[in-house]
Amino acid sequence: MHDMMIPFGPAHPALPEPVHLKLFLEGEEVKDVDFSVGYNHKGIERTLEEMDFSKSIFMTGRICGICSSAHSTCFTQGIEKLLDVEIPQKAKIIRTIVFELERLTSHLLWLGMLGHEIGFDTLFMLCFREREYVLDSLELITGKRIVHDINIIGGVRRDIPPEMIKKVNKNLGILKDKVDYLQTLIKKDPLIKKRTVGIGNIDKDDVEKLCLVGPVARASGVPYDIRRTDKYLIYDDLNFKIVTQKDGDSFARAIVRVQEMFESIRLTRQALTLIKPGLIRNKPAMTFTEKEAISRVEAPRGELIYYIRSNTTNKPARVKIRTPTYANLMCLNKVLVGNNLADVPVSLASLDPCLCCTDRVTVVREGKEEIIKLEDLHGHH
Amino acid sequence: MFHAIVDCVGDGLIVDKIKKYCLKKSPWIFHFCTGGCNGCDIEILAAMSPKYDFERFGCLVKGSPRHADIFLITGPVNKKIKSRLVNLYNQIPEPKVVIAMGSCALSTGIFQKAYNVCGPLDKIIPVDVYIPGCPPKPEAIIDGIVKGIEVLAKKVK
Repeated sequence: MHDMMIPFGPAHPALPEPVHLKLFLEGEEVKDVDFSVGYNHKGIERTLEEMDFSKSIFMTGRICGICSSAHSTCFTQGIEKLLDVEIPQKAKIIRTIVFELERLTSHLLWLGMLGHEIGFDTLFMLCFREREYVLDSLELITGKRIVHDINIIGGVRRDIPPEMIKKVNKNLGILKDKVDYLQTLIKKDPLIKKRTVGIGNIDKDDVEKLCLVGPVARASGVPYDIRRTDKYLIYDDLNFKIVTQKDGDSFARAIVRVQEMFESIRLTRQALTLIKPGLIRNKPAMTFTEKEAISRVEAPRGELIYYIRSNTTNKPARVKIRTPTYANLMCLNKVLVGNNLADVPVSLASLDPCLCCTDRVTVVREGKEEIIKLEDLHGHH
Repeated sequence: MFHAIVDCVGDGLIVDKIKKYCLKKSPWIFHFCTGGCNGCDIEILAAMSPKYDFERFGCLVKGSPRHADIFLITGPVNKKIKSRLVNLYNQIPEPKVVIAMGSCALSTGIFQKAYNVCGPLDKIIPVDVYIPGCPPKPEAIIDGIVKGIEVLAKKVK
């Protein structure tokens, strides 16, 4: 049918995580793509059902190291809905600050990886140098660089004292100048433009049809942002704009992410000014009833949804996680097909896939119920 | 790097010296994620970045196992990736050092009870150096790699 099939992964220099792509080529052009995941699947949803609610927050934080606080905030919000607890304003502010700083690290990491994929390693080094300012601030606030574990049921684990606010503000000031430089670099550099403009196009119709989320949707002109639609945490009180671009190619996605970094810096600074002395946790009574809750947040990669069902025990009856990358992988066919083989890493990276978030098992079968063994699942490719 | 030299010159006394020198000075790293949370992987990238810069020890992260001397592994090994991990381990030429990084690789950590995990790593392939932490800081990674280089130097003798 096609000239040749090239396996891409699971261990590939362009991929930080294991995933397997089968690229069907005719000459240099990609004609079809087949996708196989499962190299990252551990069975987290099942394990959560056997864990205490208070412990499982730390488990959800370890679903993904890059958007760790997005996962744990979303899950904690869900539990707080189940318990009907209102958390103190200060806890909300601290969660927002950690959340936005995490978005900054994620976007800087992504920009660095894009530079690495197109062979522009200087950009990778620059991004990672600037990223240390954010990581230092996060370490100051939460005590850890990655996987922050700041959330507990009813509030947060640590307070932000006034001298910390000064240091974080100083770091953000330095970072803003650096991101400004990165923006001019991306807009002016001919190498980046040649490798990204017009590569991996997704138009607005496809975004709406395939229900894409996050920066990928916004780069195609769909202003979809959970921070605006759901108004969770303190986003209602903060002033920010939703960055959109029209073109929908890899370059537009880069611009969206860079401009979102400015918005994140602005949001963090506004949130820091709102901090007033007060409680950081309302300790709730841990009595659960049969109830369900859905919680949504805007993770760095897009909309993240948690569905939690509780029973009378202190363990969840069911947790279902829908990650942004799962939604965005649907457009893989649109993005890769028609491009050259050499552009595959760039277009793939421009979607910012995070596969350790994504690896869930869903078996869709029609008709009667049947038991599927683990070996059968591993057999599927 | 030294494998290339050995291929060109063949075995001999001088080659042994070059071998030892090169391995100490430029151990190349192959990094593989066996299904962790990416926290460790991005800390490896951070350790490569200008602030920590483990390239000053001659280390380079390479894309192919056949170029590598150090196998840096993160994550609790999951069932689907186990056979691929063993394949990659066999493709790395001797002498090689295996470094297990992060709580997951050491003891499967928080994923101990997950059904699709068959780690820890040292049940599957022999491990020389362990770097604990969830995730380890770049300083710890550099320390682990320096210890790995010492092990490598002993293996060459």
